[in-house]
Amino acid sequence: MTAGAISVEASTAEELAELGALAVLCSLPHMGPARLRALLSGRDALEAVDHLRAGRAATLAGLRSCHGVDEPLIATWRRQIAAAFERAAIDGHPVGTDLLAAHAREGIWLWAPARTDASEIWESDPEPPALLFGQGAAIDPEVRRVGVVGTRRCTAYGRTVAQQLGSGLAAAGVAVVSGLATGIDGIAQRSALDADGPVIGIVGSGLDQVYPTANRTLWADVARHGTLLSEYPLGRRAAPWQFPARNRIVAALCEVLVVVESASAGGSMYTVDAAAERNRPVMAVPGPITSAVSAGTNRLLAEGCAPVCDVADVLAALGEPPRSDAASGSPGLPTAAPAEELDRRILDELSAGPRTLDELALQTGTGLGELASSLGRLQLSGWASETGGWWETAR
Amino acid sequence: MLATATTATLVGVDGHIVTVEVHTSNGLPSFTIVGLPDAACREARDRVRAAVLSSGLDWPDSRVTVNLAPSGLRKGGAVLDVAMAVAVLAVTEQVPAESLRGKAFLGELGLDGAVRGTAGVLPLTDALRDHAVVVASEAYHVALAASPREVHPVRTLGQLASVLAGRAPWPDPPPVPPQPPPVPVPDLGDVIGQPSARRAVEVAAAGGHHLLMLGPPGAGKTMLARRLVGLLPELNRQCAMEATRVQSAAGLPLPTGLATRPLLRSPHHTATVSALIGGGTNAIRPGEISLAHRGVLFLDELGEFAPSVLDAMRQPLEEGVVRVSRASGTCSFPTRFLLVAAMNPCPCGQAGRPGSCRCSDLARRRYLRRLSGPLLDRFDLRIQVRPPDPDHLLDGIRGEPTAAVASRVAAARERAASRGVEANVELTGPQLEHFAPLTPAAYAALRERLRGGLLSGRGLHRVRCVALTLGDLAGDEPLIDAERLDEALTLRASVGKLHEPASAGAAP
Repeated sequence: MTAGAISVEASTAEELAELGALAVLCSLPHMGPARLRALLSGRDALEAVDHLRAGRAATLAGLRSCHGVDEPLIATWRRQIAAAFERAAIDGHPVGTDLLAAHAREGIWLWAPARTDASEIWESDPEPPALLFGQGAAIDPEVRRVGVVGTRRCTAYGRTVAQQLGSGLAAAGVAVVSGLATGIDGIAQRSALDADGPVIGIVGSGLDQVYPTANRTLWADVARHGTLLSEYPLGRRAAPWQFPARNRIVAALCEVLVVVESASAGGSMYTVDAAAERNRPVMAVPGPITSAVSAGTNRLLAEGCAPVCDVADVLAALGEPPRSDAASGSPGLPTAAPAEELDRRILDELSAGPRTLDELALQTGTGLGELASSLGRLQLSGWASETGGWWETAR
Repeated sequence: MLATATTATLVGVDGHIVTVEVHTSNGLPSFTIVGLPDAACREARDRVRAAVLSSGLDWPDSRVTVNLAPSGLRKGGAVLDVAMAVAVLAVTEQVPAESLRGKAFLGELGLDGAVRGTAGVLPLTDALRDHAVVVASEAYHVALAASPREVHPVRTLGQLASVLAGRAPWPDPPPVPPQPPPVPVPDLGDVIGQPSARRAVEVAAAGGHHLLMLGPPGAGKTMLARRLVGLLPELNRQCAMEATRVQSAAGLPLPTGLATRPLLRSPHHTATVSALIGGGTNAIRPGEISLAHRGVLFLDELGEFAPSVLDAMRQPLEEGVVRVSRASGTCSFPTRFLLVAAMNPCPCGQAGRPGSCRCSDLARRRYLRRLSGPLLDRFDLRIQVRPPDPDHLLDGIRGEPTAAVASRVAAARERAASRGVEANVELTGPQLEHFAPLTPAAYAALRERLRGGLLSGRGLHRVRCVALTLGDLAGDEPLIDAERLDEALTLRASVGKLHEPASAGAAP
């Protein structure tokens, strides 16, 4: 165990009591990072739990200043804390021991960045999480970390770039940090896993609440071969506000953030803002100006972010020497351009954006049979792909 | 006093012979119907009595009991009216009882004594094939289509009574209705641009392949579906009989007797399972999928149909027949139809264009989740339909007209018939292997795609089927080469797959 991961067995009694109290606080409904910070400012978790239970005016005043905290919610919290104390009294353990045991049974370790010395990641962080729940390996401070994020609705281009970055970073031994979402996030992590690289996935729900469910396999693979982290205890369902909060942890954990594809108001922009706040360099992948999901990244470039044209660019930003064996170039694309003239014309047409079969037939003026043969060749050689009737090139 | 007359009642799309027994006895005048009549049938009491009196005939001043045998079978509708009336006339000796022998009577009575046609004349006449069937004039041509021993049309009960009493000959049959002017089927020439959509419609018509059109509203999906029906050849006698039986049982108008043109049915997406599959509380009625038998079922806004309704279609699609079971009994309806569906893959109108669609994942998933994988697998042709280019619309260059395409479709269907099926879609795996072997190049191309995860094993058979139809349309040797396969594959867009990381490993 490194970098602050705490196993329940290895801790002292005081540490356990404090962790139990933290876990109780984290498990309260609608409890998020800002409210936790308000509760824990100037007091440790045991005190906070006691104050909340006793309804101490100063603590409650701090809470009430948080957005959206009202009396019924505080009443609910106090009821739940009273129940936790009752359970603890029956067992004769400190409060929250049952929660710690439940997580330990699932092989989940705890990481309390605010109180352990995991140093350079969190030392200047404006919003460090009070407690993180982790599965898999603990974070190795010796391994460099790069965040790869982007839209859930990526194009074939974004998919190829995310694959290229994932496998390239894996080959260079750099960990891919991302949010396990559909689209760019998941593709980058899947590619890194396939190349046996280290991955760190941060999710926005409890570790037993897979979201999106389509990523169930990826979720399990990250937990098995990498690190899976969440700010939320077991059983917490995904909720919209938890994802921007999750993004700040992605920003904090990476040393360089790469945005592959994002609309100008996409969720990835939260991560970008959070990274800027934490002085993490942000890099962006240029894309076609006709694509809505490259609008955000192109704007980042205009604002002065470094462009990513290759895995080597990212490694250079990390200060890592480019590896000759690291996959640079285009692993997803064949090197030789297609020989047939029609194939090249179709690729030209596709480079301006996704096209339907009709659009291609009319633009190139070819019959469907010939067009189909050409598209078949391009698809088999990896130059073009099709989803829902839309043809795209990964170029 | 006792008299009997023969008629038939409808169960599903089949006729069942019913004997009407009328008995009169002394007692207070009354009129009772026994033998499981439904509400419409029980109301015959009032109609029959009024019709007899309006026709200038006598109603007995005694206890009249009508029994409908077999009494275990539920009798529905007003089709038994005429039989009841003539049996009453026989029992009161206004017509000789022998005159009813060997005859069967089908028709509803009006209060003025008029004889009217009812739903289901074709299957009913079919069940009464050994009788001389008496029907309403308006139902004459439909009844004739079942080719019974004799058919006699009558207009009124009075007329029928005179004939039975031997006072008049059978009235002349109504004139054969003039072949109706060909219904103005919308022409495929109106479809401008959209080459792949035109092609897909042609292939669907030729091979009977189910077609799924993806695209925003206003792209012309409904327009294409309507034109697809015009491409289908006339039904042969066997198919026309099957289709007409269902349409007759459902009470659809059949002006020329046999329905020889394939029908287009386009139910709204609020249709219930019973409406689409068949069912009902009193009598089991055929659903839209059976009304579209040997025709086209067009489901617009496929994603808006209730998932349970769509899933209920799977088994009938596969087997070509649906068995609807209710407490009152089980009916089989034929369901060989061409399924054409249209949907808009997302609400924003970009139809899922990668990088432009602004819909949330949830909105897109919501749509796709309604379509189960097995149902999507039934669609051999899946195409994106985009609104035509305004330039093309203004150019006014018309596409190939229906007549030209329909002749290719007819030729392709003939080739399919020579393989012993109506359309290529019905070919089984071994048949396909026998009739349309792969060239070595096509074999290699398919193997590469299967390995690359670009094609599923289930998709393989369908793609070969479509490739064979493409060859049939071109008039080629029935040998599947790589070019045909490529075209079949491009007409089969991958639907229902979002960009998942799980699929990332499948790329080359």
